[in-house]
Amino acid sequence: MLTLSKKICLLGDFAVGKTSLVRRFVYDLFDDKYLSTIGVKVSRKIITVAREQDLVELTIMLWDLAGSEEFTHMWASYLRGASAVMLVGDLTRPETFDALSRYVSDLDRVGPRPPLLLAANKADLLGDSDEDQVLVQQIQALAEALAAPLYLTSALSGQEVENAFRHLGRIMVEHDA
Amino acid sequence: MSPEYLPPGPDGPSAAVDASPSPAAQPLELEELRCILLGEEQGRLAELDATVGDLQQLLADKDALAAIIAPSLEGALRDEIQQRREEMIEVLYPIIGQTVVRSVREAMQELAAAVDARIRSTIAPRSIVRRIKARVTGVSDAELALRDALPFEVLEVFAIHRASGLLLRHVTLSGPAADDRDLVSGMLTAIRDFASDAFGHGQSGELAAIDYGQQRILIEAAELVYLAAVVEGVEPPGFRAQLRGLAIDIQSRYRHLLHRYQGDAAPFAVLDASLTSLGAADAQRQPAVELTRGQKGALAGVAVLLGSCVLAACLGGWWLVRAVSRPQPTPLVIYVTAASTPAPTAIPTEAIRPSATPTPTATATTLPTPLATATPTVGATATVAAIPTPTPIARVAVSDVRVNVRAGPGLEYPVKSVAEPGTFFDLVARTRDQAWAQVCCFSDGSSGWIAAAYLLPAEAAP
Repeated sequence: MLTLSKKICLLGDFAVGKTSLVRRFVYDLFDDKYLSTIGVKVSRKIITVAREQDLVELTIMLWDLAGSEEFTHMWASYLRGASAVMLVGDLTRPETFDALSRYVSDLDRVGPRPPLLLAANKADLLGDSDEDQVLVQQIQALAEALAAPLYLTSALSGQEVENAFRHLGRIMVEHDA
Repeated sequence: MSPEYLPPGPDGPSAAVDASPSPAAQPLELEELRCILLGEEQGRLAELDATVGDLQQLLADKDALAAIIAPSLEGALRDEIQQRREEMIEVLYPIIGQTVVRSVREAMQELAAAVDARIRSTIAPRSIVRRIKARVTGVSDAELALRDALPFEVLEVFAIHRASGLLLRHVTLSGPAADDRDLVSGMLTAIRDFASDAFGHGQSGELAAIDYGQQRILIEAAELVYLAAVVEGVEPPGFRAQLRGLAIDIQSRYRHLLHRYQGDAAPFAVLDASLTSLGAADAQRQPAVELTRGQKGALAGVAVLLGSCVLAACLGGWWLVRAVSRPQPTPLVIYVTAASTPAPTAIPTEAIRPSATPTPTATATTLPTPLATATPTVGATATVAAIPTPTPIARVAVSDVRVNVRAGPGLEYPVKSVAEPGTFFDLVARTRDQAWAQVCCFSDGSSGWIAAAYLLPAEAAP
């Protein structure tokens, strides 16, 4: 079985739930304090992904980038060498999705745009109201514009978290093939 | 409280007697009364029981107890030390002082042992190099020896893809093998990026080392890959150069893979030997003492001078070998009789061949008188300085074998003719070693040289 390592970055505004998503998904070695000191924390998750007729053991190195403003100027350095980026927004704060387009522009300045995936987080707080349905439609439109698969995730319940990261893993492996 | 006693009621004792309950209802009422009177105290008692129980549990759990009292103790100790610093020093000195002294003594003993080992190997090539280096750099030999003797150990080496921070290879050279090195390489890359962004201010420059306690992480980077070595002690001269050289070498060998790195680290497995070699004895390391331009010039001059000397020695050796291997003609000393007719009137300035017109005389004597010496060269005609017309010394005859008559005294001279056994000649001259004899005269009146071993005195000829 082929063994590959890939770097994934998580981008999103402060408190959208990036770190909670990571915590749901990965094996952690380092404390979250690094997020508030150097603005990034690296975690790891090993998954097995199918590629054509083979299986690939994929080690995902997740770079959780702090969303607070004092660190956003350092994102360019941290984004270098990323094989994929997960964009994270908060369904309870629609403005956090507006910022994602700006982050993608920053990403484009670093180098060729890697595959993207959009995670609309805190789906457990999403209701059935018309307002919420409209919001979801807007987010779907954004995902299409960015050519990014959309997942409605919940770090609290674990909804779609694993699937979102696995999808990103498959994208990266297929992207190489 | 006794059941017979009841406090007086509002209507007096009689009313109390009238209102007294039946015997069956009495305990219940008493209990209610007890609750009314003692309820608050009983509640407090229960709380106290619970608190005591918690405390007992806490005392049984030493770790939990320590965690609780540690902050208070730390604070109290800090305040105490700050307020009574001198007293604390006096109290602690006997303990800490002795510990420090012991530690320093052990370190010095280890250092002395290391220096001693270095000195014992003083005739090793490395020590000679060190002495030259000391001369060139102006640092004393002792200082360099001490520097070499300092302990140093490479614990781990990482090879990391520079852009992504993904781990290419990792080797553990000392201590237990640790997991999660890929996570460490990621965070290390993040820290490098952070340092570059935070302190680089747009200038070139990178994080080169991280110190923590006794250990250091030494980092050397090429464009696409960087190496991080976790070391203990002071790195010897040349270690960084070795690290940098290896990083550059890896990059040049795997440039294509590194440029478009897809996360497959398998091709880099062959790097393990190179990474491990960083922990080998520092004898292989290049001297990393930075020389000034003047020192470099002086060193280059010395190198050129040494090179010239070596070249001259080689040329001299070659000439000597040629000279020795070349057939050396026998040094020629011609002995002739003192009397000769006619006497030479002048000494020619150039070398001449022995005259082919000897004039035999009966007054020949066997007492030779050295006239001159000549050293013929190979391929050239033998020259004899200032030889007048040869005068026969004696009469000789060829022994019982045919012999070559040569143009000069040696096998290197061409053969003029062959003399038959029993042929008589006049002996004109001999070489100093008596090996060759010049005889005269042949049919054309010339003289020639015959190996003396084949000549006999004429009277002894058969």
